[in-house]
Amino acid sequence: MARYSATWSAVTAAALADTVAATNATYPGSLRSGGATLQFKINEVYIGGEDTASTPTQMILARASTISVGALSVGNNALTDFNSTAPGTVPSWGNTAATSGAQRSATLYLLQPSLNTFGGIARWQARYGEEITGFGNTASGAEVLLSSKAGAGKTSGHILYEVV
Amino acid sequence: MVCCRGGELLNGAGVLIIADGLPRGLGHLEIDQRNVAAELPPGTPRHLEADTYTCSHCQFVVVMHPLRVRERYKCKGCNHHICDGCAAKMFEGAQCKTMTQVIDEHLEREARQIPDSPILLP
Repeated sequence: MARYSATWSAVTAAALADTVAATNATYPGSLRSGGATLQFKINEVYIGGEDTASTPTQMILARASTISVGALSVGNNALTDFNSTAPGTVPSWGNTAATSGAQRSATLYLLQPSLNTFGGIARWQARYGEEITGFGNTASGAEVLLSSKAGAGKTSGHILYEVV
Repeated sequence: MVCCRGGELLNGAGVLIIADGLPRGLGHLEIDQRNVAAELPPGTPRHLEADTYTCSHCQFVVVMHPLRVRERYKCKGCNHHICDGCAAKMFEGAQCKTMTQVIDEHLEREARQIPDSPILLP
C-alpha cells in the first residue's frame, strides 16, 4: 500500500475552540479521507517548533465532528516512495479549505502533544497495528485535524500515513 | 521460575509468562524541549519519552505514566488494552466494539448499498 507524508511549513497556529470551523491557514492541517471506502492509517506525527520566543502550544490531533468542505490546499502530500503507484483516490490534506474548515470534535481527541514551540519538538510513533484510522466520507470517521487548542505556536512538521 | 524483567517470568519450560498486565510492544511519544530557552511550567520535563498504546475501541492514544499504579484496563472481548474512558463505558455495560469492527461494518454497508434509484431505465 502507498505510504504518504503530509507536511506543513511555518504555520502559525491560532487557538481553535472545539466544534468551531477551523480558519484557513491557522492550523497545521487536516487529513480527509474523501472516499466512501477509503481508509488511511496514521503512524507518525512530528511537530517542530519554530518560534523565536517562548510559546507554549497545546496541539491536538482529533477527529472532526463536522468535516471540511471543498478542496484542501496548502501543505504537501507526497508519496514516501516515489516508485509506488498512487491509489485511485488519495486523502486530501491541507490547512486551507475552499468552502469551510473542519470542526474539531469536543470528545474525539486522539493525541495531545503539548510543547513549547520556542525550539521544542514533539513526535509520536504508533506501534505497528495501532495506527489511527480515518475512513469513509462522513463525520466523525473521515477526517482528523491537527490544531492548537491554546497557544499560537509557529511549527512545521509531518504526518506519515498509509492509504489502505 | 526465573524473573526476567518487570512483570515477565520465565517458567521451567522456557515459556514467558507476563504477570503485570501491562501492554507490550508499544508506541512512542517524545517531547523534547531541551533547546527551549525559557522557563517551563513547574514539573514539566525538558525531555519526555513515554510509551503509548492505542485504545482498540476509540483509537485514543494513551500515554503511559510510569508512576501509575492503578490497573490498566484490558478488554476481555478484544484482548487489548483500552483507555480509561472506554473502560468506564464498559463498566456501565457497554459491549466491546473495536474501531476495526466499526470500519468493517461501514465497508459492509457501502458494499451492499442499493443505488439511489433501484429502477433501471432502458
